[in-house]
Amino acid sequence: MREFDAHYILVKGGNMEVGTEVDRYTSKIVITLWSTKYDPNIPIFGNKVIGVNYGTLDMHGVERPITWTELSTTADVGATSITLMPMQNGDVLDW
Amino acid sequence: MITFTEPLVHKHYSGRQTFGAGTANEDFIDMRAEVGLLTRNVQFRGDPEWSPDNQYGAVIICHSPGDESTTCRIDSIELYHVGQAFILGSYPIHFHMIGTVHSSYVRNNAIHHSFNRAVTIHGVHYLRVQNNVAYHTMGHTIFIEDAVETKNLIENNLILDVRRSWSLLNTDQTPASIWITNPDNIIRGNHAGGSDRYSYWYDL
Repeated sequence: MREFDAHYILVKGGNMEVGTEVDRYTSKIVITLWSTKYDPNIPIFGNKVIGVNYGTLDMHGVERPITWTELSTTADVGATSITLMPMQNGDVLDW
Repeated sequence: MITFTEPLVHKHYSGRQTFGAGTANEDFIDMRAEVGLLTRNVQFRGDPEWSPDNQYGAVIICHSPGDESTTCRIDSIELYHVGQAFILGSYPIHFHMIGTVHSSYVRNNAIHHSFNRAVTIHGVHYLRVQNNVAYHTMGHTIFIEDAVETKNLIENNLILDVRRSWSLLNTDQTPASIWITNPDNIIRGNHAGGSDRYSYWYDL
């Protein structure tokens, strides 16, 4: 796993990429911003922020087949599993 | 099938409710609990030391004046401990006064444990907000700010567990999952449940 830490990131007329549309970011990364309310602020953007100003931000993780669905059967109190609706093509959803 | 190590504490219903059975007007509604995926391989978060205790998380703000002057393509990432309570404008994802944003989108993301909304659409047109899961947020969660915004697409999002906020605007004390100020935007296919007060609020 990779970690990326910053107080803030200002993209001013440039690009920031965490994967692109054609080449997604496929390994695990945690991007953490560290600031308190009382740390210095950038006008308009504040702090603890990725600010994009006349620039481009691309963030593309691994695409999931769908991001949400519904239960196919009622899950009772004490259950230790749930069953989900099949996907439109009939496949079982595999998250 | 998804399995848990801890058994469920509550019942989660899934069924189909039929109305007017046997009549010409017979119809049904699917009453099935939604299930959203909150984790992604790319996680953007506020630091664990300050964010939860002070409701002060990380944010993404896209702003420069002029059509297409800034592009943000945010797809399939997780935003956790985001949004800054008490700070107007500091939302997990905030498009701010750009104009048209034909090449930008916010889709397939999970935005959860936010202290200030999820997605704010302010002074932009043609933004696509699709297939996102927003869970456990504070205040109006997908928010069209000023009523000048048009042609934005809010489609197939799941918005669950919207909490009231006393650290934002007055109306955020009775929050809506989707706050809509201009009818010239496309809102379709979304599921909004478990809000402290409202799901869809057209403030026209």
